[in-house]
Amino acid sequence: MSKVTAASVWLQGCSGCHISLLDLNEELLDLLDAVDLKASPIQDIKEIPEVTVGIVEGCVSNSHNITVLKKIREKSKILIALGTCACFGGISGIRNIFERQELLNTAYVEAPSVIDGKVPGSSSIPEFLDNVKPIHSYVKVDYYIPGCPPLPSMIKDVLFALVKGEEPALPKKSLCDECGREHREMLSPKREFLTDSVVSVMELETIDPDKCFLEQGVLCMGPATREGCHARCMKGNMPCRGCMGPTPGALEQGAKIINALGSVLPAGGLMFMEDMVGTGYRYSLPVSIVPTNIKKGDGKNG
Amino acid sequence: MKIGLFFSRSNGQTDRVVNVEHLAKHFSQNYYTFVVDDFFTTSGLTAMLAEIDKNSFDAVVLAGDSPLNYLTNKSAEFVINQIEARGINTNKIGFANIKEQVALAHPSFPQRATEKAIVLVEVAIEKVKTARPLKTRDIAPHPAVAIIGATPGAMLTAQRLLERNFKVFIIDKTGCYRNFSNKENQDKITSVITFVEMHPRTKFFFNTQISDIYGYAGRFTLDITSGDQKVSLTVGSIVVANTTDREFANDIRPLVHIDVNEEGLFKPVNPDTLQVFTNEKGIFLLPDDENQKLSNIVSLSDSVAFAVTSFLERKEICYKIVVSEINEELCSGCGTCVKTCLFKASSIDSIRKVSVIDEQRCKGCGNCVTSCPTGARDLLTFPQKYLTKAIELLSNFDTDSPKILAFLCEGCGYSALDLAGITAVEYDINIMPLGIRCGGNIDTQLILDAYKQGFKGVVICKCPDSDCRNIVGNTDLDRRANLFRDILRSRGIDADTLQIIEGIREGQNNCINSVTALYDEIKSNGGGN
Repeated sequence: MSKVTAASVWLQGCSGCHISLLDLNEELLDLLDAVDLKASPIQDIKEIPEVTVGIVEGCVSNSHNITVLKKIREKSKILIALGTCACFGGISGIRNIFERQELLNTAYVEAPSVIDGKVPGSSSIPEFLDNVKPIHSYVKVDYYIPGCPPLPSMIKDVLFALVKGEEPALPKKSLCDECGREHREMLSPKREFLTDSVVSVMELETIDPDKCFLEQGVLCMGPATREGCHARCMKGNMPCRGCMGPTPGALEQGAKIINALGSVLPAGGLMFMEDMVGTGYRYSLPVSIVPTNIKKGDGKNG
Repeated sequence: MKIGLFFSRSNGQTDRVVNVEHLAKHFSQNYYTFVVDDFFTTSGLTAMLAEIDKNSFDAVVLAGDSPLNYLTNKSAEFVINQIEARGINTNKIGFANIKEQVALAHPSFPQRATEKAIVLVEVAIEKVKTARPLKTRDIAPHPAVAIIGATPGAMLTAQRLLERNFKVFIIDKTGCYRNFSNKENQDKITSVITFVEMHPRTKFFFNTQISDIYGYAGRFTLDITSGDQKVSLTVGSIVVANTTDREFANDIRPLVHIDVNEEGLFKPVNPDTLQVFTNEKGIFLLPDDENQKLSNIVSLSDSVAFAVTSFLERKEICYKIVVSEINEELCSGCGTCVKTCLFKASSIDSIRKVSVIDEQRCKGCGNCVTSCPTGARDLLTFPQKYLTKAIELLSNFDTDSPKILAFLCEGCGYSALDLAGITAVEYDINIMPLGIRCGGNIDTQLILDAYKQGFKGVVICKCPDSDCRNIVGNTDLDRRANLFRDILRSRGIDADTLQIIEGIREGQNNCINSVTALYDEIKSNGGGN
């Protein structure tokens, strides 16, 4: 079997998705038997040749990201969005609720460690865009591998499927399907809330490792988040934060978890009140229905 | 899909304002269009049915009178029955309310009213395209009737039903049946009571609590506890005769699903013409008021006995299964729908780990659809896809002026806006109505969608808290309300432009008052957001 050629780039991201690829460890050798990685940040090769599979990590945050993204799209037959930033905008997307100038000032002028700072400006620096967007806002994307970072095994499964000419498929259900914690209260047809109060996970004296987090009064994004991560956080006794993004049946994650928690936890909202975007939209603000602060003048309602 | 659009001039009331001919012409390129004088006259209905017979449509849209008419008026219900008899599914019959919510509301702006009517017809077309057909179940009616509340009227009704050979169960929470306090009246019905008491097909259950009612119109199951005995009864129809006890009404509302009025007492579909009918098929009301003349009480008993008899003497009852549906590919069995459902219609299948619906209990209120965090649930009649598309269509109307979207619940909001038109309250044409099932059916996504599509304000008009048709629809809406506002604030949207209001309270039409006030404020702010 001749090898499938591939190339990867990273845009605005943390390199975690590429690290996750490396975390395949010895399985990486099997992968490299089937795939010829022509260019990638791992090899520090920036010139992208014609390849079959292009892999993109990170979201689009500046004008340089657009150039690189369009380049790899042009050179690849199949383009894969690798990781939550590429799929949904990711953590960086939270900046969409702030003005561009506000962000630049915070970073370069008002930061406590800065003295006499000024916002750098030069034609050689890529333009900082008003809003973070996922890569499908600019180019056609063929496959998505969400996750922050995606499981190494997910990356492997998708790439091997493509090598074999199969159609890679993501799971469709939400995390509750694979979480495995007991949730008896959730299944009893009673209108009463699960608990009297809502707490953060640090406030619990003991975190029951076998019981649904919602039933312990802890806000968990699992019900509104796509499965496929093998519930790693729950196994580490931490609630889901939603990095796999919305399920295919819902338009967006934050709104859906609000709808659900309103019926399940008291003041389902208290946690949200403190940080609506950081809780419900930590990873998916740029793909939500209103992806930005409309006062910024972006979108129809400006 | 072959869709027939029928436009009614509503006997001059609609086409005095809306240019009905122009409206029909506008749609004639893509659809079969017909204009009639009035759907409810013999000539109008005959002409319409002839076209349906000739063209064998998959769906029809009736643009004219408010859809509420078809629920509260027997002659209008007859129109629907006739269309259904021609093989068109209930959910494939759409309504565009171009009379009450356009012609009567905007008489001064005929040109723009016609444009608005076009948008409302587009929304109605979208609904018949998207709504899934309702399944039906043919029920052989069970010849037994449960009368809840042993009032004097109940005894009169029982007598009439026994004479028609039905079995009658008389259920009361107290220890005996109630006599008239007026001795003269009591004397007059003594022989009736003797007849009922001695009849072999009567069964009394005193000191009885009703713990459960489920099933289909024509075949209900009642689980009752009489003294320390638990009994399960099968009946074809239920008559609620104890209508003056607020506490009792409150207790059995989730079981009988009858609307209540502001006092928390059961109310009929139409207090003038349909006093014994409720929105639930097979469940009837016998208004209990001892101060009325005996002849009135007797005639009400006749009415309810006649209604029950004509219902149960049919060979088969076609029961429409109005439920929410489940996409098992998406359902992860989290249990949110189980927690949300007041009617205990949702449960999780322990083997397949997906949600299942008990069609004998589900009222199709849509609370579970909203609360489902994966979007695995949907209402057959109001699919989320339809609501999203409807918001987009409504936003396309006259894009220059600021617009408000009014979500109107089936129970109160919709009738409140109709009433504004009927009572000749002219409101701004940029207030766009969208009928929904229930306040509990308001998904946060729909609110965000409205703002995304450019609406400057959103009003959710629902029933007053105490008389929500689905009992907890408002509770769930309230639980989410602060979160709605917070989510708007997080996007820089003024949260005061979202208002949640009660339809009609103490004779005040809060709906139109609030919508108008909000619209004026948004306009004076130069278009809000």
